[in-house]
Amino acid sequence: MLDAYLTAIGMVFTPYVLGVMLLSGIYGLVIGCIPGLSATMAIALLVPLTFFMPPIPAIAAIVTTSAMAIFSGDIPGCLLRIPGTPASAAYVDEAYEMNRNGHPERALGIGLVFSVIGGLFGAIVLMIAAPALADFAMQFSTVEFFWLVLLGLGGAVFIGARRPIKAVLMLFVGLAISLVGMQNPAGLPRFTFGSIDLLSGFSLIPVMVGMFAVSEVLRSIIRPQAKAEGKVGGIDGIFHGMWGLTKKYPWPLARGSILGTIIGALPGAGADIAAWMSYAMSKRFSKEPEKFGTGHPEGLVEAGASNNSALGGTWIPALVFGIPGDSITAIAIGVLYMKNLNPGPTIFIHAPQNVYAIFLIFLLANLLMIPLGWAIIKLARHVLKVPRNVLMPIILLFAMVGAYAINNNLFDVLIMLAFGLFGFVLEENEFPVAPIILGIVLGPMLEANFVASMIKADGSFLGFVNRPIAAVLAAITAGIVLWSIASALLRKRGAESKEPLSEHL
Amino acid sequence: MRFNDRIWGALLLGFAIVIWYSAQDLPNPGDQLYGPAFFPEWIALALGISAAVMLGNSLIRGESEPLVSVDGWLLQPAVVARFLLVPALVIFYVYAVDELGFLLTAALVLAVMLLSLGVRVRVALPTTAGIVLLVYGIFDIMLRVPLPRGDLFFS
Repeated sequence: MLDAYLTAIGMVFTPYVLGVMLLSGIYGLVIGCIPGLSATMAIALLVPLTFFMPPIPAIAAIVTTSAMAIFSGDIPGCLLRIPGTPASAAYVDEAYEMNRNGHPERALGIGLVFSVIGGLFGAIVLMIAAPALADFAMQFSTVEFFWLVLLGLGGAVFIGARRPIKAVLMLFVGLAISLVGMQNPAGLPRFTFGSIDLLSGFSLIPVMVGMFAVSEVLRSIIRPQAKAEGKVGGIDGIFHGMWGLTKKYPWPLARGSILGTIIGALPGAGADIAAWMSYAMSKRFSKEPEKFGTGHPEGLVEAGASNNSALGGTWIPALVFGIPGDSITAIAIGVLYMKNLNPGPTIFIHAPQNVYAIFLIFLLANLLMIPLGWAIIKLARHVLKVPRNVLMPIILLFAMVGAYAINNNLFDVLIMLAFGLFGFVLEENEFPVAPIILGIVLGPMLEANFVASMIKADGSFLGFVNRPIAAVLAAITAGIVLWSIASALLRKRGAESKEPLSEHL
Repeated sequence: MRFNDRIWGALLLGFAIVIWYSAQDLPNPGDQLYGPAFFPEWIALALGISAAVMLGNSLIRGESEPLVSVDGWLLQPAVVARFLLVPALVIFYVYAVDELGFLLTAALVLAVMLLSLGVRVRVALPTTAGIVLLVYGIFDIMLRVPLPRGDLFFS
């Protein structure tokens, strides 16, 4: 293991990788800081570039960008009361109140320092938990993997979805999209409509560039920029008083980091849900809950640590099982496959140095956040002035060229457009798009394990539950599904008695 | 534009039925027990059931939401035109780029969209030039993506 770590250090500490991390760090901070541009979109636009890099710098770019973007989403939240990324939405009001009380530097300092601490915590848990879990997962057969994928997909649609039925439908639409092409166990072209371009299925990158970038461009056209509240001045003394806060709130900090990592590791729930839950938890356990919402630091400490620690958590199932925890890791898994670093327990045996390199990148990215985060806070008022009507056409051009660059194929640009329009319509109708991406990424894996298990079990469903681990996974999956259906029914009955036709279902 | 649960339920149910029937036509050489149609059938079944639940739920509840509700922006022709310009520009790019080359096509697309969003010419033109050259530099020169040359430039 030590040998592998030494190799990993040699792989990470090269001018190329460090340079990529620096640039993608700046890129992530700027995108995260601009309201309306999410961390997921930052990654979607970045992936075409990573396609041309060797594996380690490619992963470094993704990890660094997502970590930085999630922190820097706090900046416009504090200064303008508009969250830069959904992960910051939970505590926007608190941070903005602190700004109005005359302490923007304090709110941003908390965002930065406790993001770093939470991020480092998540990274360390990832370093410890992932190899141990991989060791355990070595005994898994296709049956266990079938249940794991199903559990991942089930978690994605039932945890945190406002209307699970809509998420479920989108998941199956995603799985249906994954049917296209000839990458199936039978090796026959399916649903290609005679098109050669569709023989290998829809390429993931044009699809998600469309869904996350083009749809955002379209949305910005019909919903002009919200008028920003407040003025932004110079900000000094970011790090002042942070040590005091750490000593004052050790428990919220620890709780936020732990809860964030766990929620991140759950399939389907990522940084945004972690922030909401941690903020709520902080308020519930606080000795002074009445101060929440008035610019009180406690909730910021806990939720700020939580959303960044979730990032490390999401990579645990991603690396060990190849099952994404959220849409960012879904994209990252696609990149790992493209780079022949197929995630799964065996990667820890065949290429441990690659895994350790990813761990080191996580630590490094969080440390890099201190100086870069300080710089972006200093520059924030200029970044926030970039008008969206200049930005969106530029994003569209990058999206088109990025979608084209993967296969040098103009057909992919049309795919990107189609999925951009599709994603736009779905979001307008409050259908979540993340389950579609999960379905597309996990569809082939689900089918391969399903068919292989069916053949092994000779068509009997008993074969799916007669191994102990498989039975436990099956029970958990069934539990999540039944619990969600039951709670939906109960809520409906409750809602009908009080307010018929309630839209809160 | 919002469609209510009934329309979405019916639409997705129809989609599931189409998948099911097209799966029946898939060839299965060698008569594999779990051939190419096996998984699509499961997906069609699951999608169909979920869509039926949504549709049925909406019918039973007697949903009051109109079948289609139109947002304000669809009633403003200027906004609709700006919106439709985006797909139009992408399609223009796809079909023109091989003729006109990347530099010219990309510049046209970018400039037209910037101007349509109300960016002043003074800002739009330098931005266009700078960004197109930047994209060209990153993708064509650094990453060696063969961006279309076209007949007019760099032929």
